[in-house]
Amino acid sequence: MLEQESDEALMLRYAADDSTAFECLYARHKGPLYRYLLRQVHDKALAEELFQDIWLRIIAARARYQPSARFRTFLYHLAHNRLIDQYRRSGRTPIQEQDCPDHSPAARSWQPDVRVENQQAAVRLLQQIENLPDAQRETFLLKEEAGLSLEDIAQITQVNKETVKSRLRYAMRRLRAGLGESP
Amino acid sequence: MNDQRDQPKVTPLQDADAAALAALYHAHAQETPPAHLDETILSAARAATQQPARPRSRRWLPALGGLAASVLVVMVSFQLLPPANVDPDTPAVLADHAQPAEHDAAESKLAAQAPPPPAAPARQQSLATNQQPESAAASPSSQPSAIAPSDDPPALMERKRHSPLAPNSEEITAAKPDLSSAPEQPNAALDAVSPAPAQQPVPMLREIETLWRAHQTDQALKRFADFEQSYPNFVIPSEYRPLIAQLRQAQAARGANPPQRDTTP
Repeated sequence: MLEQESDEALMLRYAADDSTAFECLYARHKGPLYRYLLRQVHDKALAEELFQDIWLRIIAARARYQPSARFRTFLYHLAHNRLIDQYRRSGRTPIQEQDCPDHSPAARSWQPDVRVENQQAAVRLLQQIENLPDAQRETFLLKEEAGLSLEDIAQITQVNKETVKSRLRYAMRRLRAGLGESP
Repeated sequence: MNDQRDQPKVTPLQDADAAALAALYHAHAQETPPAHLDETILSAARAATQQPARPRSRRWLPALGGLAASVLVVMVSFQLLPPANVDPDTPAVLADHAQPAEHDAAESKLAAQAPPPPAAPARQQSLATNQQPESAAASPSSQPSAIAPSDDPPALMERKRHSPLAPNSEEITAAKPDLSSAPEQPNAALDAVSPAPAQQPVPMLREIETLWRAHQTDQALKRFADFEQSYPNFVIPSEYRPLIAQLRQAQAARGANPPQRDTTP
């Protein structure tokens, strides 16, 4: 029953003290959110701390939640802001302030049909994702992990849609190039 | 923006590549949060439902009640003060008798003009009177939320300090207790705002920090022990790790033999 309800309906149920609705919501989003944070901070302990903090904020904000936006957008907006906060604390340049010029070589020889099942290619892909500039990596993860639209990503990262498209394109290009260059 | 220049044209083959890349990514990116983290978050979520959040529109009620009670107490104390009617034309013979009355009047004036000493009891009383109807009603909906900003003022002061993203800074300011008005009785002020028993972990940590900073070591250690018992798997946020280390040292110094718990997950 609950599995078929939308995120927003589940959040409203939770605001009305139905904790099983929260469990369902949590089960839906915990993996993607965790991986989004893990790939962004490259530190398991820190990712866990941020993950816990984000969910506790959602719990705390349940009474104020208004389904005016998609829950998923709300969740990743919170996560994005928390990441920016963390970057500032640690002295890193926040994502928005970084430009993401692309100087990577164009994709050359990676053949997805041949290598898609290849475990080594997957390991290399994860390494390439880690090496992406912050803004490109975040855009890639918001699309692939959170399943957000370009408009939603633009709203969360506070850039325009064209910039999101561009970041995504450059990210894909770098990933393809990285996989093509690898042995 | 640099990334809007020289945009490469996407060919159908590249689209296929992108889909294949995404498929490859999803096939191998399967990390999930550890079970203890799931447990911590879900238990916090369940605990929050046991203390229903008070609607935002009614959060000013306790503050208003406290203010009204404070005004009432001040007015009553004025009424109870002895009258200070000293006639300036009092004969010299009576001056000696009048002197104590003048002294009393001066003292009462000073007492009336110096708010700090009566402020703390007044506030305590006001809070007590404010809390009494809620506890008497014993209604779960009247219980303060563990996470509602206006219900845990010392925690909120800390929250305001630590969390720039906290959404309700205006409420935090409104609910901030005037601890400076009762410097002689920090215990009373802190006791008056002691939190509800089932508290969320981060507010609990803030409360412990407040107690610790106010040199309420015993209470801080006691609350810390409660915290460890309530949230054994909680990942301590980095900003609280120095505090936790200090608390552990204090525990060890007292020979409490606390259960060893790693702050770094």
